[in-house]
Amino acid sequence: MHIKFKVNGIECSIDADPGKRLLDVLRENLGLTGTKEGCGEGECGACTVIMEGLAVNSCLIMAGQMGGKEIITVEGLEKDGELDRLQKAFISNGAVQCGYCTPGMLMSCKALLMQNPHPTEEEIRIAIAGNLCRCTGYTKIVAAVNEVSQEA
Amino acid sequence: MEQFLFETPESVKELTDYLKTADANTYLLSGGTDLIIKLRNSGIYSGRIIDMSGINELRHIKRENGFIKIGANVTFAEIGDSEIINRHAACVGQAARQVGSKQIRNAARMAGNIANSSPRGDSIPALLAADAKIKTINGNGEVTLRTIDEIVVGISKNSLKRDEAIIEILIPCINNSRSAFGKYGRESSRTTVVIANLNVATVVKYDRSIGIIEDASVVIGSAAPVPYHGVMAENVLRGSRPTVELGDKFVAALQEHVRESINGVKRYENKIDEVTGIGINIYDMLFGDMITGGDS
Repeated sequence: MHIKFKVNGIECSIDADPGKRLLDVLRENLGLTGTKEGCGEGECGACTVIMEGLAVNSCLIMAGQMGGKEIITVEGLEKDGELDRLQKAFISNGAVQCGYCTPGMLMSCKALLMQNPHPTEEEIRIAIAGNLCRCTGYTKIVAAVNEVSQEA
Repeated sequence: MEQFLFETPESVKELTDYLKTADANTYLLSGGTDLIIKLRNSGIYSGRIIDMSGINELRHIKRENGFIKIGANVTFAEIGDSEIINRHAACVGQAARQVGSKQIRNAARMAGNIANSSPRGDSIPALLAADAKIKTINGNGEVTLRTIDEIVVGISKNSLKRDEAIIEILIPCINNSRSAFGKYGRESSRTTVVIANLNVATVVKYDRSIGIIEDASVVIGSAAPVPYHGVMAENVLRGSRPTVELGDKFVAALQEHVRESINGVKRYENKIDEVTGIGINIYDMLFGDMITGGDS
């Protein structure tokens, strides 16, 4: 099936099995390996991307559902070689340890900030509830988003 | 190489055209959060997928003719945020907000949750307690209206025909109704983003100026193949004043229902503790502002 969509602001089109997962389209067809597979069943959030402004598990989206949609992956956060504000806050707050949850975690947080630039701690925790982290204990991740939330 | 045929109707009319030729290898795609996992686990890599997400005329939440009408294409995120639902069918909104994670809620539709008919589904007890009706359409364009328990008939078993799709969920608006939903997860490792081990929804008709619970609908889920009305708990509430003592009786009735449901199976005994906590929370949510101290 011929599928046209936008990724990180760039128009793309592919010929693929419409039943192929968005996760695999990103990693295999587009070479965007920032998005990770953790569980393949929507429990861990490692595969989170932003589609039409909303955080979704890319392991649970079929290629056929991508037609005409706008998708943002972790590769789309930096601009002209500079990390985005959220990414900088993650680094300075020690919110990245092994890094495996990080792309998905960033996308959940980015989706939240896109909808609500000044979330409360509770809203942050709800936004990342679908993203598992084995290393940080979540505190530093929440602190990083909180830092961005406090800014004007 | 095996592939799927993927069709995205853009109207209900077009949907019926596709449904006309539905066969054993046709799958209705709602949000996809259940279907994709099921297909992969079953080793199914080909077939025909009818994608419901392109039907804009099914994206409504509106109040019409005494019902809240929710189109089949509305996501759990949208239901959880809806002012209409939170005002008139609070238990459905609460259930929606406790389904999965934000990522799941952004993609999943309540219609899919109903069709999936899991005994642990969160929307089904809430919809049953609220006396919801489910509207379907088939390949001949025939529209049927059934109660939710006529649709969800067994463990992962619905009564939909091969060429039938859910297009709308209707919840009756009841004057002076209040409702609440509670859920306890089965995973010991997480407190959120869990599948229910026990869930309860309660809808009551209560006019503060009269002070008596005129009617009650209490549904217990995840304790039996399908969610069911807790008739003893309903009888406890109906006709009574909401006092602290009534709350204790309500919880005791819930415990009795679950004890009966689990039928002596030891590994389900934690459900009795879980319904206790849920029952206390639900009673508090419904009547916490009504219960006053001193002698009544």
